[in-house]
Amino acid sequence: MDNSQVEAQGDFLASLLGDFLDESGQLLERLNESLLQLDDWVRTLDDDHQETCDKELMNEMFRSAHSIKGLSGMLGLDDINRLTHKIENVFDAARKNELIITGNVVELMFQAVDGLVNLTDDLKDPDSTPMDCSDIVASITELLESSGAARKVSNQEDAEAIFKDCQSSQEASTSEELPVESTETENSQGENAVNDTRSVEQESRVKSCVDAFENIKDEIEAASKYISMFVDETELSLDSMSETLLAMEEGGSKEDLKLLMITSHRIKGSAASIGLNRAAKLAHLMEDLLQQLVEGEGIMTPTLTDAMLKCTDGLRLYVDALKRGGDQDDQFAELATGLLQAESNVEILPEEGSSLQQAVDVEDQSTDDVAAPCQKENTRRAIISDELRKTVAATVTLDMPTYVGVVTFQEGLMLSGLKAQLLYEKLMNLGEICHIHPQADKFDELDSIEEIQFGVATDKSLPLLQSRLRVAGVADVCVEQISTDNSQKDSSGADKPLQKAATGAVEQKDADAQKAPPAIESEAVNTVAIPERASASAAEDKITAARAKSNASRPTETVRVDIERLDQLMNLAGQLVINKARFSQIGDQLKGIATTNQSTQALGNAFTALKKLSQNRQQAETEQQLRQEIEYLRNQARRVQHELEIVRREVESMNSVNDTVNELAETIHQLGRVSDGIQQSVMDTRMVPIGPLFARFKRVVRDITRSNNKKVRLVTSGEKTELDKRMIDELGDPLIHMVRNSADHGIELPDVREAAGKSREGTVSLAAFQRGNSIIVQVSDDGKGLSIDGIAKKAVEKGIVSSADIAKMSQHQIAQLIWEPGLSTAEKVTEVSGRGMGMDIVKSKIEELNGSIDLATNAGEGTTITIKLPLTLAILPSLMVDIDGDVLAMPIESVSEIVSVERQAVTTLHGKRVAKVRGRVVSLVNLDEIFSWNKDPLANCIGAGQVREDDDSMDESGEMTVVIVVEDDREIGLRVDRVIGEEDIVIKSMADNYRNVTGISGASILGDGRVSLILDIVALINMAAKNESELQPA
Amino acid sequence: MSIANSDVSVAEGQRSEATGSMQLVSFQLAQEEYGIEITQVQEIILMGEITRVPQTADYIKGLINLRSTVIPIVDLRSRFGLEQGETTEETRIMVVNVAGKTIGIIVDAVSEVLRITQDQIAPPPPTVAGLGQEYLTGLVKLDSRLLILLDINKILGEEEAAQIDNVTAGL
Repeated sequence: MDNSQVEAQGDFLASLLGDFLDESGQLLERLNESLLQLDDWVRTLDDDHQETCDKELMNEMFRSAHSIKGLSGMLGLDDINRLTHKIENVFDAARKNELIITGNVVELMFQAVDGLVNLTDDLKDPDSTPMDCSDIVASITELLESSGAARKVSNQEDAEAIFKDCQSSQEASTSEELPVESTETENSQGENAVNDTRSVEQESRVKSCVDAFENIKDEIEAASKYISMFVDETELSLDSMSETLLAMEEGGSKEDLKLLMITSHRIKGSAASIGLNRAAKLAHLMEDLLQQLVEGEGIMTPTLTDAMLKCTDGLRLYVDALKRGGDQDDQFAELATGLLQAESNVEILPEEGSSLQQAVDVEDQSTDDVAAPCQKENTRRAIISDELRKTVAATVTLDMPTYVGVVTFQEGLMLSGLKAQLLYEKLMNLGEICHIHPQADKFDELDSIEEIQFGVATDKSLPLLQSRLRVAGVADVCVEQISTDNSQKDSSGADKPLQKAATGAVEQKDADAQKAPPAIESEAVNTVAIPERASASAAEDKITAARAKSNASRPTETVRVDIERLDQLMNLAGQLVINKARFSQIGDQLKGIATTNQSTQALGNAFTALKKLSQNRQQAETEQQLRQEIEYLRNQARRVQHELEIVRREVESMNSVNDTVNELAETIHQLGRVSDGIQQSVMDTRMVPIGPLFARFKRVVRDITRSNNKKVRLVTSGEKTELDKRMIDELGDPLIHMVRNSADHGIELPDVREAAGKSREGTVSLAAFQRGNSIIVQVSDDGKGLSIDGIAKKAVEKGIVSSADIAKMSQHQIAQLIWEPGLSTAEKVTEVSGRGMGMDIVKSKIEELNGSIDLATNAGEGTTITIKLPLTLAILPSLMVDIDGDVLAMPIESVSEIVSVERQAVTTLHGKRVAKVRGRVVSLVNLDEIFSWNKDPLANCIGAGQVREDDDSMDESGEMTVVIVVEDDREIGLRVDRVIGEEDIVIKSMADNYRNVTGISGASILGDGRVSLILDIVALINMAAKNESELQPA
Repeated sequence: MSIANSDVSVAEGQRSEATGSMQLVSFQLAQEEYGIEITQVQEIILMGEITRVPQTADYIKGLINLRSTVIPIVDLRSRFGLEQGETTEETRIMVVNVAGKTIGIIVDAVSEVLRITQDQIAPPPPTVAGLGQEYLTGLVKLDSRLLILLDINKILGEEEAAQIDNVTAGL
């Protein structure tokens, strides 16, 4: 392979890793959520643990873990693989009732999931040292062993051994080739409407088969948004596949094969995850085949490549159909046949090749066998004995119909124990098992099982039951409903072919009704009777029609975009806004220039005057001598007249220029609208709801309540409020800190709460909503509130403020001291809070986002922290002002009013200049007093040398303009020279190339290309307050 | 601004590293000649309007807009404690990349691009009048003149430390 190929593959793997992170992130989130549910459930339990836990939940968690395991195994992420494997084992054991879920188990699982989160986080940062999860793995192993589930697990892990055992006992007429067995199982799985949610790993085949069957569940309501995601992903994967396949025609390597395998795995995974079982099935088949090639050192034959390409084409058609929301009449069955035929031609190393050939022979034979099942001896009839009916009838309850049934296996079936286990699980999923023989835990011990007798209470229909139980290796199924009066006995099983046909028919109806397509598969290796096959294909038609109907609503098409690109787009939109501002300025300037009304008039006047002059001359004619002179003058006047005429015409045309300028202004106005629209759209693409962020806190609160014995309920609201993606990312840490504080320090112990007349359970609420141009995020609790005196004491102790200052401060102002560095009111640092960032970091984080934070507390009633954030990080509606020649911007949000203050209204209070504005006193601030500007700036710096001697800087009329800015209920009046106007400015970070400067929150580029500074109002008020206290006479 | 053809220069610079030679951009500052490695120079621009910034060291002249990016401008004369110079026709801003940041430095004039070899570089003398030792990497001996080789990386880094004092003193 040449270098470019290696590189391309590296890119591909990197993108796979990206996908893995993406996918595992979601899966982990789901795991966490399920764990929380489980946790709730465990807590509601009394000491009596007999109750069985929610199977659905277990299954779901098992699947999540299993998917991560599969993906990580694929990518060779051993640590993650190991850990997920253990997690998987635990849930597997739990759902089989081999492990009792207790608080400790949940706790351990939480730790394990945390470990996983850390491990996946490590992947994002290549420099980080990999976390060691062996402790958790060890404790899980211990847990499993202690519960006796380890036996099962170790069996699974040692699937190879199981397989060998089975083989030795079933040597006759079986193949030695694992993959074939797998493929066979595969197909039968498809025939039996199995939802294939498993992922394929390099682990034991047997295990993967078992897993696949364990995961049987129908989930077909795929939301259109998932479909569109699937479409995107799969299109990419298919492209890469065809490319690789074509490249391989010139001779491919094992890496290429692996790549293909991974890609088909990916297609399979995403298809299965949204219930597109048919596509999943095909991809699975491809994957299996490729895996054989990879493991068996085989090579791609041209026929196989052809078949593979056909499959990708088929999948592509299918995806296209999905995209259109129309009918997806796929030819998967044919494709699969082609694939399998091609497969048999695969050249594999000699000894394996022969065994494969043998295997294929066997397979063919078995196909023949089952083609006429009635004549073959290896089919056993399933007959329900009266005894069995009685046994099951004894358990009948009234609320659900109960069915009794017998399943017989084909003679000489391999792994009948596992099959039985599978059937048992299917039954468990379907309903409540009230009778099973042989006992489920004996399945493993029995060498071979011929039949299973069962009784199950379920609300599912009889045909559904029958179809579900008909898996590969099952010779016959007989199920009937136990009716209380026993009059309505089903004659099923009496006449088998008839029964089978009936089953096929109802299957079809059933599928139609449920819109749940059984993934009916490859006809090449069909292992069921002919009548059913016919009806199956009929069912297939119906199914595709049904699915087409269910997908009739077109899914929205989406594109996954790198956030960097969005940032860039945002930046460009920002520049567009700047340029628009510049255009408006130019337009205004042109308007000023193009006004020629006056000159037109002036010229007109001159014109008339000259006309009069020449007329007067004519009348004044008296002497012959002067006649010539006058004639000359008259000519001159006419000439001037003529010249002026030209000028006038030109000026008139200038007037039409004026019209053009107006047109330009109009165009600029439109440009402005468009650029605003672009900016808005770009911003909207970056907006994501805050809900998922809030969801994280359920876990945080749970952890805290476990460690501190408090009862805390988390209430969230406004999950749909949208914020900039970057903002959400940055908000996580500060919010966690605040929620921890509330739950750990804010909420009192239940007894204390009761004594205070509050409910035992405390409430921490998280709320988000939009107010004007800001997003408000509130964290509040109904706990004990902050001790204002405590804060005051600490603040004085730490020297943050003087005790004299404290005396002057309002309660609210004192409460804000909590944000000062080094102040923490926690009496003791607990495990949860008191580590991580301090409140001062929280505040600076929020301020980095151009937001502000406020804390309100009432002793005994609780604390509310309000975070106010701008709608976007990039654009800031601002008031532009001129102070001493500097053009400065201040967020319009902070400006409360602009007033003109007369000299008489300015007085001195405590040595500070204040102004009376409509009855209230506002302290006046000169920017010079609080900012330290550099001396002797270069001559061409803005504002150079314009600092005035007169501090009051009154203009001629003895008035000065003051902008009153408010933040946190504190206000100051900022003396400005001139208010320029309101403008949407694009915030540019100063820290990118320089650093942050106190009092300045960023820079912006003006319409004329100059840089202007954005005032940080909060810092400004703080600086002014500090100045004040320094100036104050002691 | 004929000098800053960075594409070509960088490529040449890389090629020459093997042979122990390097390329410098030389500039004038208070009658002295200095050199900066060409790989650090992004471009050279004319003086424009600089927006002053409060709470900064006095050699930070302010900010400019470089194609929609805001970059700080360092007055190298004040940085080195030299007397204030007049802004002339020759005055330029050299835009350099320092530790991932882009800054502009004001110099009296930009002279030329030079190729020198390692053996032309002599260690800096123990004291150079009016110039902190820390910015110097060496002296380059050319036929008729001496070139002071500057370590541009320290120019902003030092400022940061100074700034902390400044803030604490100022408030």
